[in-house]
Amino acid sequence: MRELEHEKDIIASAVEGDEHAYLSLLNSYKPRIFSYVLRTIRNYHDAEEITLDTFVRCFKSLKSFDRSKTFSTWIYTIAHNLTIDFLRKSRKHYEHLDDRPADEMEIADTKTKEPATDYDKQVKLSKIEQAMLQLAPIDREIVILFHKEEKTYQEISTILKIPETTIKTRLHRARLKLKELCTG
Amino acid sequence: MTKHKEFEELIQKCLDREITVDENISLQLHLSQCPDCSLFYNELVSAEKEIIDMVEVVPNHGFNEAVLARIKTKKVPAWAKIATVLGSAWVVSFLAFILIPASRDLFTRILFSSPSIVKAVAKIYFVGSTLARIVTPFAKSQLNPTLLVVSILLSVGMFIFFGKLFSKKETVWNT
Repeated sequence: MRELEHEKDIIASAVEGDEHAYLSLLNSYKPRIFSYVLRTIRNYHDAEEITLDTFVRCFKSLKSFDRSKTFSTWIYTIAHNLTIDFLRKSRKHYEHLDDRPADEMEIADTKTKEPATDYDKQVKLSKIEQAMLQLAPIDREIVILFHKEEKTYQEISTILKIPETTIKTRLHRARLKLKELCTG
Repeated sequence: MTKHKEFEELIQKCLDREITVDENISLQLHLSQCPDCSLFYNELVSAEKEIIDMVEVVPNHGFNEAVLARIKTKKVPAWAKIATVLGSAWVVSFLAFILIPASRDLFTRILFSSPSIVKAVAKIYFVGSTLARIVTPFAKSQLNPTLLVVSILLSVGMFIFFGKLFSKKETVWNT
């Protein structure tokens, strides 16, 4: 609660044009937003570009941000929308509400497309990371937002614009799949 | 999958952070007695823990600077653009009116060719000419060097003023 109040003060300073406030928001959200985008699109450079656009758009429209709402949900919504736009423009498939299995999905594999230097910047893919790759992008987003970012169903529904019941169903199914992949 | 569908749902509810105290007591009691459900629960909890522990990745060094550079870019406010267009139009028409005597006759003819606006124009003209007499005593005189110099200086001044507006930044840093 105290953290949220502090964040509101930082946002107020950022609206006034305080560079330190911008940096504070950047340092606080940069790793989370970047990881979230990277795990959805699986390409370091594109994820970096989308994250940059997310912050630029966020800061430029900070004056219009309704401070009675959660900043975190707002910035995740911007990141999600830009990710969807990117995937649409690059004609990459993004499973949204249909029930096609994840293995039919075309997920960009950075291992084969990025130069060796980018490997150093990427996170070592652990067992769970490999298992996450087997999920549909939308399920990955739901799992990350719920378990890693500790968002509520209501907040995830706002970010992804999907009904809460759908999110719950998909999360339950994704959990079972992850468990099978990790233990199997 | 467990043999006990009811408890499988409770386990999901537990991970959803929606389980009640009574449901949790019931679940924990069952887990202590059922190895299948206990294994199922532990595997799900373990997967959840691994998700939470996933490493956060950071973008390239210089990311913050790139964001700040993008939001610092000059942006011309809408009112400045409008003011520039109107100001430029004013300067051009002022110069045309002063420097080309024929334009005054043409302007008067065009205005008075439409009888419906004659009255309105007459009022505006009266106010304008009164102000002109006060501000520029030489307004009715023919072209002379003084008038030319004043016009040029005024025009340059206007362009400098609107040019300043263009260079105004949207974001001012308070560092």
